[in-house]
Amino acid sequence: MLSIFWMIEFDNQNSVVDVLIYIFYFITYGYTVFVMVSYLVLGILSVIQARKYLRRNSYTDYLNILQSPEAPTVSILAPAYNEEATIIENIRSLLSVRYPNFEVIVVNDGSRDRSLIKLIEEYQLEPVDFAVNYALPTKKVKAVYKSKNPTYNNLVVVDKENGGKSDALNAAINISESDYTLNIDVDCILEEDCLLKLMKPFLEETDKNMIATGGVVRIANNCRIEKGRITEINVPNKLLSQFQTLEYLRSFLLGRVAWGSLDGLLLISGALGVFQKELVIACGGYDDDTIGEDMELTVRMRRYAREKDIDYVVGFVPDPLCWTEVPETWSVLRRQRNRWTRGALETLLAHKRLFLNPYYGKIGMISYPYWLLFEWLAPLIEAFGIFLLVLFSLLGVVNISFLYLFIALIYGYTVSFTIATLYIEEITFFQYKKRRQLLRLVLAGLLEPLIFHPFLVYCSVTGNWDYFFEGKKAWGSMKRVGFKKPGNGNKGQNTNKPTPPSKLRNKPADAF
Amino acid sequence: MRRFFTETYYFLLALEPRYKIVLFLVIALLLLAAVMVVIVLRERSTKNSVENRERRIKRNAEPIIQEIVFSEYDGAEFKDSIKKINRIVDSALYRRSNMGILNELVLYYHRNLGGEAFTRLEMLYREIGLKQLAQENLKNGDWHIKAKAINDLSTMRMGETLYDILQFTDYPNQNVRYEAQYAAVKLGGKKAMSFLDDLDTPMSEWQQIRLLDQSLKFEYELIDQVGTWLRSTNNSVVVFGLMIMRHLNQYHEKGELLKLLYHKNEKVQEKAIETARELAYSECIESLYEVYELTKQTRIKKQILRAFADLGGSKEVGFLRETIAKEKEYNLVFEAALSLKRMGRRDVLISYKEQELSEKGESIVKHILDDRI
Repeated sequence: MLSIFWMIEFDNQNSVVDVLIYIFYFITYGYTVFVMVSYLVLGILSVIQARKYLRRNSYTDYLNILQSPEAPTVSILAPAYNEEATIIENIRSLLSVRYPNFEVIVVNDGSRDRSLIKLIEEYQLEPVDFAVNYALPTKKVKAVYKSKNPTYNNLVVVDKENGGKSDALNAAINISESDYTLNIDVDCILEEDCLLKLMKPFLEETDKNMIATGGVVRIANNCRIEKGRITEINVPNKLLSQFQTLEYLRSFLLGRVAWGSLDGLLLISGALGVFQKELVIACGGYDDDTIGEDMELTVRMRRYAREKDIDYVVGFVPDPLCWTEVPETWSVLRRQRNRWTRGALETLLAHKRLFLNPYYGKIGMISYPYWLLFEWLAPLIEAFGIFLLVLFSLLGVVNISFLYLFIALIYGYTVSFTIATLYIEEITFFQYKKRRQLLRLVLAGLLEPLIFHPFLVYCSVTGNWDYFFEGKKAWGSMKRVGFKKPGNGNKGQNTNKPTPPSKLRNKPADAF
Repeated sequence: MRRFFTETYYFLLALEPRYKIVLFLVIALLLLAAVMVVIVLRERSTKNSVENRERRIKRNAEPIIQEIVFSEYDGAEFKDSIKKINRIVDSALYRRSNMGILNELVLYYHRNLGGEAFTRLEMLYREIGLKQLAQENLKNGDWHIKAKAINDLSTMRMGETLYDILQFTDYPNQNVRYEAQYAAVKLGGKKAMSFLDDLDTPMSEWQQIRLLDQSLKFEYELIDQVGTWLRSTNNSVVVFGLMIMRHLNQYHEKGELLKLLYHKNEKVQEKAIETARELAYSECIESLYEVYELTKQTRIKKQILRAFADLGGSKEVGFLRETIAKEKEYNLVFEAALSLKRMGRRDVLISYKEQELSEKGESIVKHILDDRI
């Protein structure tokens, strides 16, 4: 936007139009500078926080808690809809999480495929007389299954009528007997010590009430997966997934870590988050009517805690704890991002009361306005800027040489920021160990502002259009191809037979 | 060339200010990006060289350490081995870093060994200078270096450093303080736990779990300080005292426990009920009825119903029956039914099943009676 007004050739006489343009120019100038500076500040905060975390973790021994009879109980909640290709492996991965006291609750949300039959066969399930407390209203639970095999004693499978992800999660919360719930997407691969690390902030907090924690989600495309565990980390083969790798790095490594340190997180990703169950129930659980249910719950929980005078905090663990598959085709990605935009928008509008409201503290004064101005509005302003650019070019008022220079400036900033992210990854969690992989990411970083970013702007604009003018609320669909089977020697996950379309329940990788 | 630079200079000089600013920023950002790529690659090379050095030190030092640990060495041979290891880590530039690598290697062995080998490794740790290094770090380092040094010293069971470590049990930095508290219990046993007597700062649950883990290794005997901890104004110390009481069967402070059933802090109250239950303190049952009436917290009520299962008799069976029939709160009905089952009174639950119960009550009873769950 800023560039447009710098590129206009003004005449010497100041007409009213010129003055208006000048005012607009200063607003947009301020906006652009603020966006850039805020990214920089968040980046610096993230580095400080990540270093502190790593230093503290250099001597942390999780064995104490692993052996402790005092460790709080946790329920892992995994809603599943038409996941027959991956469900057995994924549940196995969940059951092998290292934690002393946990149960896994899988909710079959009215799948139309063989998900439930496969589960019954594999885990020797039988229906039990489980009393369901509908503390959170949900669609009817048809049956609750437990395994005949004592090895799977901590597995509960719930079969219910289809009601969507939120409804499935609410049903799982009703079934859970633990104080904390780890809410995940069933198709995610969790790190073995994921639960230990996510529970640590709850156990470490002394002054405030920790109501939720989130963790870093990374991209599993092209990684080697054996027995439900990531055994080799690779950069995805496809350029589109590489772009998303960079985006996730920026989002989680820089953005969320910083917001976590400021206690300003408005979003705990639906892919990975631990919540205090009592508070989730008290504030009404997941909202069935929203498509961005993860963000909506986080915001509502914060709001509820504030309104009830609970001195609370939301934590974030900078460690990569969860791996997920991202879309590998532009059309699926477009649907996903379109939905994320609508989801975020829905939450922002539903909680507009927070905007610049000092009663809500940091989330009212910083987080919410930031999301509104820089997450929701930024792509729209950018699209508007491009529109003006075309318009002014047609009118012949744009200085072309200056335009090129300004595009170079924005490009330079974006590339610098991406490379700074790679540097931070290098000195902190160091996941991509091969030099060639690093160079591939650098190359993707050079192309990203030219290809991927404009596409995201387009998705955001269509998302807004669909929300405001089409009234769209439905989820998109994504073809799950299933993670690669262990031992077949293939890398990556895209060689197995395709599965029926399932709900695309991926997680926002917002820029910040 | 000179002409080129002169022309460029005059060209830039003639540019409008807005051009100059943007051009400067573009060049600066592109240069920054290029420099950062170099830094990233350099960082990668540094990492590789550190890894190589680590591999080399491990390759050379490991056989010597193994020999020290697993063979019968006399004094001269031991000194000779120390010299060899010193030669391996010796370096004008990287000595400190090499010592760090060696430290991790020794700690690794220590974690996986026991008995005589354990003692020899401790000797090696002292003689090779790693203990001295940790003590230096304790005095001079940043918080994370201090905390790591304390952790190392306690892992290697350097009992003689206990006094130094005790100085840090009330240190302003939480991480250092926690490590010092943990090390104190590990090295000094229950006597070193006296720091809890006047601890002002709160202890996190994580820290309590760590301290408890160490305390569970004590041989059984009465711990006199438990009473002091239960009377503490620091709630986290009270909770920890209750944990110790429960897990180490410290029956002698039942009077204090009775008072804590009425504590204003819910967490303390909950833990006190749990402790009374685990210690089979049936004398407190009348107090539990009283607390049940006074409290509005479902969590506390649930704990009391649970305690009735272990401490109660026929009177409590009646109370639990009544709770199932009259209570509206789902969780309490569930807990009461569960308690009846734990008391071995399935007959009461079955009789309910046969009578008219609400749909909710019936499903709870069915659930409780289903042994597969």
